[in-house]
Amino acid sequence: MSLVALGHLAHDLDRQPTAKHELLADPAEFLARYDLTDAERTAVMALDAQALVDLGLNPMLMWNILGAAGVGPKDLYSHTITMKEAGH
Amino acid sequence: MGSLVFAGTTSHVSGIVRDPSTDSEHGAALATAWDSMAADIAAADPDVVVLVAPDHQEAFGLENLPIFAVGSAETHRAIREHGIPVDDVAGDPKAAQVLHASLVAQEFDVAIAHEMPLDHGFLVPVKRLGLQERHVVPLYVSCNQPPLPTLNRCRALGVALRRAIAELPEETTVAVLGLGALSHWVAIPRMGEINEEWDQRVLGWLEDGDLDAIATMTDAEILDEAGNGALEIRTWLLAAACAGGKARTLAYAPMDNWVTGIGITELEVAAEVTA
Repeated sequence: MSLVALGHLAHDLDRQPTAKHELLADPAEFLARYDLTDAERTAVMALDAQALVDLGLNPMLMWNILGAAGVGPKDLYSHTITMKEAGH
Repeated sequence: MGSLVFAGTTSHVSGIVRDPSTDSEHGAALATAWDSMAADIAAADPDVVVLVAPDHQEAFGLENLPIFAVGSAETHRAIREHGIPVDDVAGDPKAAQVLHASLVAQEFDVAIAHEMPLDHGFLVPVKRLGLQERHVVPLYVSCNQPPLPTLNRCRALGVALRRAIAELPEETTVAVLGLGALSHWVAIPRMGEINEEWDQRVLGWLEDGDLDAIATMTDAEILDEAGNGALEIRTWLLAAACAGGKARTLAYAPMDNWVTGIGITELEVAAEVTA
């Protein structure tokens, strides 16, 4: 189930010491390790909080992903950066 | 025959141990309340502390998501999500298995987890209340991934837990803590809001022993008025039903820097409880 994989991604970004760096260095390569749907991959690349939640990801796990990209808790739903921009 | 010697509730936000000096206006009152509760638990000296709390998809993910689960590990590993400074804690498998068997016999089909790492929801109160050297039995209540158990079901489970405690061998003494709540919006658009009126209303119901008022709230009402984090009020209701008596609020504060209303109560332990 791809939603489980999305949850694994969120956990790995908190628990694996190098995961955040690897994600930001090469988002596409990092996300390829997870069996995500196109919609999930697009939402992660867009750092789209509402889309991730609408796809079924628990908001707390969504926060892990956006937080890894440097999005602050008050900006989860209002920021305008993408994953590629976060990596630069 | 086991007995309940202490019951209480507290919020469990990670800021409590991550940033304990935050907010000088309210911080001292909360610290005094937690220190008082810690002293009261120490005086009660329970053999086992039952920690009633949610998990935040740290121990239980979508791969396997129970509604209720008793933890029965020799040691409950600390997950330390986001690097929070908490430690592993000793479990009590024998007590856990007696409680689990009793709950199932009472027709609560609670899962059992012989390995159950614990996140901040369980371990922040363990650290703040000085329970690190005690034996714990975690009782997980699903509070953040619908469908959630109904409030009435949680209340009834609290009564069943009290009966289960009585089935513990010899003169085992038990403390029960409901961990979570009050109002907070977690990673949803209203994050940062605190509803003091709702928090005080719920604390008032607990002080009056009016569990009907809590149990008849709908999740939609709770979400609208107090946020997704307030759905954790299930843990408080369960603990209050287990205790069977009225609450005494030790402290309440809307902690903006912790983005949550913080409540700390102790519950009168009634001689008997009824469904």
